[in-house]
Amino acid sequence: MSSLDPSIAAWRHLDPDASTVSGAPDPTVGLVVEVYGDARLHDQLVGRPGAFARLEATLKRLRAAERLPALACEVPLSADNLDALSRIVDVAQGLGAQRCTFAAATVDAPGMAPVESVLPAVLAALERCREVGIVGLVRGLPACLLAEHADSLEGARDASDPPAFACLFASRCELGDHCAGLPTAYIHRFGWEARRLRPTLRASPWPLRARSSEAFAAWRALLGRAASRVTGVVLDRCAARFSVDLGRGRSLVLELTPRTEEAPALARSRSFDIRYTQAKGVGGPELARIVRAIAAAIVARDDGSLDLDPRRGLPPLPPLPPGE
Amino acid sequence: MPGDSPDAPAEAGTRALRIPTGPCDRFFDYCLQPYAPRCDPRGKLRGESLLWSSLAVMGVPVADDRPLHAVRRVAGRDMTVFGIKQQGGALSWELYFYDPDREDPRVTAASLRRELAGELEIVPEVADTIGYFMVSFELDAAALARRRVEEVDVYLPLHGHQGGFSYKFTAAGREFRNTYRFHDPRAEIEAIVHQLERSVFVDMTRTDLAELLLPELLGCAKICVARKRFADAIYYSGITVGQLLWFLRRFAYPAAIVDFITDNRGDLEHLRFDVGIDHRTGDDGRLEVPKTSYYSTL
Repeated sequence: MSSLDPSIAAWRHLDPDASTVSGAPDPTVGLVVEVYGDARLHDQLVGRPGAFARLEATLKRLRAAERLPALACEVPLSADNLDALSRIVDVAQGLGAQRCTFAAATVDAPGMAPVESVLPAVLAALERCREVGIVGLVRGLPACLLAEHADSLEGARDASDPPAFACLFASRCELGDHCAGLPTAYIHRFGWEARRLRPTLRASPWPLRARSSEAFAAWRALLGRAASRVTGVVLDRCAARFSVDLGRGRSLVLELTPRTEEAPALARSRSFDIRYTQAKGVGGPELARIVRAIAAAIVARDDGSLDLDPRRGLPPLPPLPPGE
Repeated sequence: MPGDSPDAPAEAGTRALRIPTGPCDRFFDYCLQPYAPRCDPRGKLRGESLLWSSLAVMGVPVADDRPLHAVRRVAGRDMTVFGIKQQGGALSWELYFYDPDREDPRVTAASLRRELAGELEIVPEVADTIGYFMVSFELDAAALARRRVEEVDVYLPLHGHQGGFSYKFTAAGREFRNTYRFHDPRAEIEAIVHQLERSVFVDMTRTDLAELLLPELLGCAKICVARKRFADAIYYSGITVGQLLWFLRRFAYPAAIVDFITDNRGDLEHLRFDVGIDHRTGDDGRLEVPKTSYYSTL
């Protein structure tokens, strides 16, 4: 969660029904409270009479004790409070909030509403935030639907597995770097909203996918010092291919295939014929020196424990039972 | 868990379920396209663990694993794709053999039939002169017990696009079955949606696209849209173990299968999996899912 006040380093959710706030006062930690509506609507939606009054009292007590360095309100969106959103901004201002986040439901719930209902209310509430000087933020809605308020989307990559958000246009949209799309629960209930979404055609390249540098570790180790320059390994049916970045725009692909005695090869190790392909930015004696050094490292390290024979080491089948 | 030793068919009466990775492991999707594991595979489990677990869950006698071990001895480790299919509440298994460039002479239809003889009788003959890129056959518990394959599917490639057509070969003849077309969901979402929305089996006036194109699975490496004789189908490839678990729960796979993967989730994080879903509109107007499947390599 981002901080608006530079002195606030973190935010913590506050349970207003808890009698005390534990721990020593920390002026760098702001508090977040959920606000569903004005007093009557809040009590109704949380299902506890007097809940809003307790929230107010708790905040008053914390403020008096100088334990409330900053306050943010989070407004869970539901069909029942959409009409009240702009009023809730005033409630948040009354509570002393610096920030108000409108959070769309990410799990299926009776109050989940379609974006055609949610959007006008949220956009009006963001306008009201602007008018009263509170930072308005949105969570769980697509950035492309927020129009001039697209920057209000609390950007966060969806790291859940399986994904909790999706968008048909995620890979095509310039906003995709910080917009996760719609909650999957929403899509199951209301659809992909393919005709409503307004993706911005992507012009910038996608960031490269992170690759595990530990994958194929034993294969990488074959290359000795050059292993640190391997940017990718592909093991297919008949070959191991290493993409090697030599720096300064120079690269090549090193290829190992099962050892033969006759196929053309730069060198042969115990299990492999060694070749290179796709040399870029390097040639002549420099290339020869580099590939000879890598090949020598492989020859020195190949103890026969790695190979490309998919049948090697498979145990024999047990004998068939008598009579079969 | 019993066993925990790789490639251990020999011990009578036991079935190793958790098969550890090894340094020579290769990682392939259900089209035998290589991928880099998602994280360090050392100390984790091989994808075949899902196969052995499913056989155990379905009560297949350990002795009936023998044809599967024989297949691996012929095709080689990691070179056979297996699919675990759920249809009508029962599980069956399909084995797929890819070698479009004929790089391994032992992995052709004729060679498999010849080399597996005695362990698994493959009844239909498929000429290697046919320009197929893949063959497959299905085994249910009864077929495993009989060690006999009555039907072989043969897949012919499209030109200039990943995909193909399948034909069913039996002793009696051959017939056209399915078409498959693969797409990159990042670059070709319109083509995927176009095909899903045009169907003779799915009434799109009663079905939302999100019932066919599942948001939890859209983040995958490839999507294949298939036309079959009695249904359409969509396949998602390169999904994570979290997505696989979501799929298995959504489509009501046996709890013991889900539990095995849940219990071993951390040891399967390095893998990518593939899943398939057949769909059609039922008599009541609602979407039916007559068959689903998930895949890894043996």
